[in-house]
Amino acid sequence: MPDTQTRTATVRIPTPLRSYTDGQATVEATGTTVSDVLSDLVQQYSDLQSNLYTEDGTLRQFVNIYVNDDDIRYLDGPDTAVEDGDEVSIVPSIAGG
Amino acid sequence: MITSPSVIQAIREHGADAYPEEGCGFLLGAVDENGTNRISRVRRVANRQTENRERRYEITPDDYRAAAEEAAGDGLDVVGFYHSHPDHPAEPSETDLAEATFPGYTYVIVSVDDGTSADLTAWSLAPDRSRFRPEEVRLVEATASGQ
Amino acid sequence: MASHSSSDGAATAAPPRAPDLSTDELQRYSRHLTLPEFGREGQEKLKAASVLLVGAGGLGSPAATYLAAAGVGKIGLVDFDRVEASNLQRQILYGTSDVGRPKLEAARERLTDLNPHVEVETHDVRLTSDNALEIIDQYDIVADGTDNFPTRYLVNDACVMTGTPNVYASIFRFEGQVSVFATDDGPCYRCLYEEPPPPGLVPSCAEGGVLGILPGFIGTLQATEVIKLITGIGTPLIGRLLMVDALDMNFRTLKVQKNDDCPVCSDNPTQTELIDYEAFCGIPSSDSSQNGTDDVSQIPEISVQDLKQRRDNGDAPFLLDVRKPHEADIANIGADQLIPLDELEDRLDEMDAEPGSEVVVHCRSGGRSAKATELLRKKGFDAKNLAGGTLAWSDEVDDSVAKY
Repeated sequence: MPDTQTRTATVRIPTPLRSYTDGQATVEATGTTVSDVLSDLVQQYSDLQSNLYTEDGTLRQFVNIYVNDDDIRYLDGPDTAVEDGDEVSIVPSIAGG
Repeated sequence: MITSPSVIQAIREHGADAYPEEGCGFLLGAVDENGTNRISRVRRVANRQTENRERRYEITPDDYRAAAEEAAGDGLDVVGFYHSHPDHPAEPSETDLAEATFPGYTYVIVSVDDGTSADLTAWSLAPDRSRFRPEEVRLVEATASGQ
Repeated sequence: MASHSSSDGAATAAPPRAPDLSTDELQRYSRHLTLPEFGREGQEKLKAASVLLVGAGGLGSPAATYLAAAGVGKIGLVDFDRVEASNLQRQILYGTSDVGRPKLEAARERLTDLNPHVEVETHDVRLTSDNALEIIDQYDIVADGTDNFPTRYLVNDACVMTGTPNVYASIFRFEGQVSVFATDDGPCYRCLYEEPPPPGLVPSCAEGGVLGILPGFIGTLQATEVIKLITGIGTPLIGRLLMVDALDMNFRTLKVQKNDDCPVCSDNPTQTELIDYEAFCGIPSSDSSQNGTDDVSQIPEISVQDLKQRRDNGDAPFLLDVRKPHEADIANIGADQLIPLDELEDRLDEMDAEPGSEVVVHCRSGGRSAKATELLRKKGFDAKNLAGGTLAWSDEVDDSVAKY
């Protein structure tokens, strides 16, 4: 049967965004996919929304999401499944001129 | 940002070493109770741009994770980044603004003039992401003792 | 020269008197006299000069030794410590037979023996806002080798206010810094370091350790700058901070600019008198702890003798060591568990004691353990600080425990 039961993941918050999460380095968020977990995260801490997403609702280009040690780009992207206890990390790519 | 003279010196030296290309790296430290980034040390990282490294730099998320993990072992975080501007002023370029990440990180820029480091400035992204704002560079002494 | 008379800041002014050098002195200083840049004139300037060394420890030892050997006319020393065995690894003014003696007494003997032509003035006091101006004003140049931030800011400000150049040096672990501050046109220490680091962030030498030979050569660099200022030769480290890393053996200089808004040395200073430097550095002053108004005085303590007694009675409380593991290798008083102070908050769940239970906390001297005690009490433990730490244990209970 399709597994749609909600899971709880631990989201690691990069240092500069902790001012939007009451100083917490990790936040518990629920969902079955990465996309759901991140939605739950910005639901809890709405100031994260504009930092992580553009106005049209896509993740900002420099924002990379890891589930445990894997970049979701090499898994199923935002649809990557999340298991209970997984660690979801927000990792920026840095570039400039 | 608040840091020590040896951190400033290390950034300058990396800028000079990388010339004529851009050098880049991580600022490792902590955020103090006033929300100011206190930088204890820097960590060099390869400029991952595959071309035009004289005018562009890139740090991959894998490099970020490795630096953050190493820093965490010493109780530190990644609180910002530095890069050099070879033969260019120490001010954020249009590309720097276009590629900027989260407000709250400190971005240090050192200009390198014909191989010698010159001005060093610090910046942070405005919350509305419209521009970089200058950040004051304050030094504190990391060494205390004479005894 | 302490009276604003120097013209360019680099060279201090001409000697107030032209001291004659005796035959004995001419022989003694012959290697100086044959240096063309130095010559008899340079030697006479040294003899006419007076230098105050603040701190007769790791930096003060080599600095005083070389300045005395070089023939500086008057050397002042400020210190109030006694010689301890753990000083001898780097404080080369003192010998094993000096342990327990006042430092200044031993230093005077050594320096006078080295060069009887030098006048050694001792100031057996803690430098404070009440006495600093008066003491410093008696000298041409100050060499700051203090071991704490309040005194370092005090020395800087007093040097600026009396117009006395301040040759500054400091060391930590394997690194050192040297610069020349408070000359007429150059920056001062506050131009470089506007504010002190937060208290507790910087461990002392005792906690952080120091490579013994490091103050040896940093203090010698400091004395070199003193001699350059007095004689006017070379380019002193005015507006430059020399940073030395002994591990890589790197010597680098960083430009230091005079801060136009410096609260003490700018054209329009906002601070024209000495202040409470302990408060400035965020350290509760000794007055307030006597009045019981700061937190430290409210932390419950247990004496080493009481702890010993309870152990002898088979009623030993749980003893937690909050030093670094390598310190426990040096001096161990039988703690039940070791968790370093900076890891304690994150590792509370590893404690082999339950909240509510009695825990005695110790470190080397009682400072770190006071902080740990405060933290544990907030977390619900019945914590007490072992007063005086392993040092007191060694003094009062078991002298086979090493003092470091």
